[in-house]
Amino acid sequence: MDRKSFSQLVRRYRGPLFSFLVHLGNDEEEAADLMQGAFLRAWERRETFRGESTFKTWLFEIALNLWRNRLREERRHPEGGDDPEGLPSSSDPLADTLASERREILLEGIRRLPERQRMALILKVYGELKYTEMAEVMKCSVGAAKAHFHHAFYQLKKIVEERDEM
Amino acid sequence: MRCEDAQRLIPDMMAGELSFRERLSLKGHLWRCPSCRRQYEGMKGLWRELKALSPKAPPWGEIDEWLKERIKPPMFPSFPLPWRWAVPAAIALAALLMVVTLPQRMKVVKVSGGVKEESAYSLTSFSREEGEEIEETLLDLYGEYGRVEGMGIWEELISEWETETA
Repeated sequence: MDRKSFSQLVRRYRGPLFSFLVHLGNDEEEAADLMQGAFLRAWERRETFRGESTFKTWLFEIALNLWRNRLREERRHPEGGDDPEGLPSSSDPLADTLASERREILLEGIRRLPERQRMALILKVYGELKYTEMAEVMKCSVGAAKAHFHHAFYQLKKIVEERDEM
Repeated sequence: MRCEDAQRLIPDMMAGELSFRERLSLKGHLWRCPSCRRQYEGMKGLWRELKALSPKAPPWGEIDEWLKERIKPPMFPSFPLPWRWAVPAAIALAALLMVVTLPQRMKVVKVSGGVKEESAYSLTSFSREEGEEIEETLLDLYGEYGRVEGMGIWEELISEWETETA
């Protein structure tokens, strides 16, 4: 993989990757930082990429590992006020900038989903991954990835409807 | 298609995971079933709202610059492991040959007057044509970095020859 083709891949996947990392619970600065780290690591390890998965899947796996490592690091050296589950807190800058109450309800709904369901939903909606790609990133079967996404989608709909009725 | 089948397919429809045949079949059911159609419209609305939660794009220009700085090409092109030593080995061999044939070539310089000409190649007892040919071959074989490396070796030889003949 040469520089030119790598740059093309960066341009193609940077949007979904950034969006995915923000919705994992990072603020925009942290998400940009993680994304840069993921691209750099992918470049440095490009010779180890065997093409058994798609480049996109491989990239998302790298980003997810970086994010998990950062969470572990934060748990070891807490600076105070961090959510132990790495979920977006109520002071999430993304949420702060959202104008409508409806959007806040949705973000809250996503936060309340079980971890695997939330991951599946974010990978699908923001990462724009196929079920087969989600399965590789989530280290599960395609059927399980699909089921997690289905449950997340119906669960979120239920949460939103309950809030609407209140 | 039964209603439960349609319910199962609706999230896949949003996720863009249905084949043309499945989409057609689902649409047919939705056309006939008001209850599933309402469900579908609700899901479609939720999907749109989720998509609208995408974060504001970061400064891509700055991120691109940051990455460009870090993904510079290697000094030598990347060869498979058995060939990795080919470039340095070829350069070393070329240097050895030049050293071995140096006394013979020095005679040629003397015959032609032994005058230091403006061309660096004549100082190492290569004719300008010979030097240009070698440079071209190195450039073809190893690209820009090969040329620089090759010139480094020539410069060392020139300096050595000048010291010896001073």
